[in-house]
Amino acid sequence: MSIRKTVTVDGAARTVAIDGRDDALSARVDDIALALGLRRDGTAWTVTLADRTVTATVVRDRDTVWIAIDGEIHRCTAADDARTGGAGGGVRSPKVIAPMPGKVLAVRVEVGQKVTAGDPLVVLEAMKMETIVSADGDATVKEVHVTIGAMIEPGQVLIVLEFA
Amino acid sequence: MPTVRKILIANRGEIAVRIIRTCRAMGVTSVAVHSEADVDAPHVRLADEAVAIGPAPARESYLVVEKLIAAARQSGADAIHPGYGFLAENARFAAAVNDAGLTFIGPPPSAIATMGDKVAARTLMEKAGVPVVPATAVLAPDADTFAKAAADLGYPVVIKAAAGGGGKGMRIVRRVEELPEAVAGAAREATSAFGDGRIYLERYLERPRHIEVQVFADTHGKVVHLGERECSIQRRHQKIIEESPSPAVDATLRAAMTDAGIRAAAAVDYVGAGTIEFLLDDQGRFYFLEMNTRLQVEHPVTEWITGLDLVREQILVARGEPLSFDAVPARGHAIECRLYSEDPAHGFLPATGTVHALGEPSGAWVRFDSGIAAGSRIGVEYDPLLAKISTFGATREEARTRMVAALRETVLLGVVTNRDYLMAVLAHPAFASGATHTQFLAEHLPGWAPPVGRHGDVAAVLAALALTGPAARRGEGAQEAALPSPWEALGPWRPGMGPRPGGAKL
Repeated sequence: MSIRKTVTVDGAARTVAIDGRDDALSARVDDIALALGLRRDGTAWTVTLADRTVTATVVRDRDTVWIAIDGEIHRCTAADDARTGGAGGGVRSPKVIAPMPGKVLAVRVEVGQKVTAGDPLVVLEAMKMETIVSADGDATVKEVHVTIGAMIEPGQVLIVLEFA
Repeated sequence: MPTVRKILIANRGEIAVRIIRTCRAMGVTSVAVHSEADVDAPHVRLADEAVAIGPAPARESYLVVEKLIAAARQSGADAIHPGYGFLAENARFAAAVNDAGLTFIGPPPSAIATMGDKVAARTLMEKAGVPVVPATAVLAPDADTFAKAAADLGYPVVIKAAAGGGGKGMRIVRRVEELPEAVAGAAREATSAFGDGRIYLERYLERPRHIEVQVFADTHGKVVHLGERECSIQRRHQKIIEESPSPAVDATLRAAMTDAGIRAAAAVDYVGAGTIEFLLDDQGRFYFLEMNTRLQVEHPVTEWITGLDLVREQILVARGEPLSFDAVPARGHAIECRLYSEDPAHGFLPATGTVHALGEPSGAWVRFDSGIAAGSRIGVEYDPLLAKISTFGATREEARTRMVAALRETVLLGVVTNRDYLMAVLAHPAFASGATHTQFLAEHLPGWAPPVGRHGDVAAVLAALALTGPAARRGEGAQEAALPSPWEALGPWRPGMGPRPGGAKL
């Protein structure tokens, strides 16, 4: 087996490489080499990494992996996944994505409209709380993917912008 | 006397489960109601009978008075328990239940209506000798008038808009020199926000504690108290940690506060379980905030220290029986934490998803009240409260350390929760020392981020493996697929498959 993958663990990117056969695996996490032992029984895993042996529960829900180890809960995603946002900062995306699940209360823009940074685009409501999704920068609205009353999922594309 | 042999529970989630359990223990038949979203919910499975009451949105199901009365009639229930939230403090609902010839397990509609009206409640409390936050009537908007009033009230003071709400027009004033500008500014802001420039003055409570008194009254005119709870740990005015007794309340203060609580309940001819909420300032002075005319979310901490089952007592009172207790001697200390589906690292935004695995805490002096199970969908339709963890100890410190251990055992996979945030509060030295107040979280945990943990590297390896599994590999190059994968060696990967309820070892 040979796996190269960058994953985010609780919002932080970790680079993972796994090589070798099942009975002689080695792993590198952020360039630290570690001997690896793996045993699996359904969702229960026993992992030996370097000199530590722990049991873990691993469940995967689409692009998110939830891992419980010794009372710790880790939420992991593939680092190249657009849905890993939320921690703030980073590159602005022309795709305006729902930060939380909920209902669309208002759509404040239409296709072709020019917006400036901070302009409200969509108003969402979840559990009686309102959140305004606003423009990341000066742009023109290229696509509108939601209507008032629509139920949306986190990560769903609401609006597509074309930055000026 | 009302019979109360079959109770319809007009609620869902953990409180419905909790009420059904007491019904079972008393040999009372329970009837659950459920929306389309809750067909398979734990409260439906646990109840003796269940009635569907409509679509997922609460205003089309759990909040429709007529549907609930019809469900009670259809099932032959003779009483309705409203739980908390939804219709629990709706006087029209309580009246409709009574008018239908059913027993409402709660206070008379008049008590609900009076306490639901802020102005009426304040006036009545003043008359009953229950302290309220000192305030003036509307004052002429000039600095001299306000300076005189402020000297009488004592600094700090807060200027408020008579038509106000949401903090608009509010100005906190600590010294007389600040008054001229604050009065002018508050009047201006009130005018522009509400079209009404009237302002008044109130004493400002600096970092108060939230302390509440549990009362119980029967239909024979007896009112008793069951001590206090402190619920100062709040975010956005929402309690997340409660305890009893309060580390700030000594025997003298307890006597004064519980006396006031009993006077407040008696003033509205209260019946059943109720809670009088107070703010306690750093001088040991307390002021009436409001009365909750229902069972509280945090009632388990009172159950721990009194040994009573409050839902059982509610049912006995509803049957017209006299209270079987007077002053209940409290023992030990209890703490409750509320597990919410929300992200404390991102403004407490509500989180949704599927509960794929649930590890419940257990052991001596640990209680877990929940309305979820492995497989439950957590949507946006309802309150984000998932479960309540409560612990008991001979001392506060014993209850606190037991809670830290219990939270560590509380492992929910599939939905973001506030568990790690709760652990951070419990572990904070200021919490451990009992120095709690309503600004605690803003002061001590601003910019909180999830802990890194000791096993982040193991998680990274497992995540890399899981994300390389069949569901993620589909569409990728054949080269990687041809390599021996852990899935072939270790059995097929089943995306999203959680362990069966009770089968998870976390």
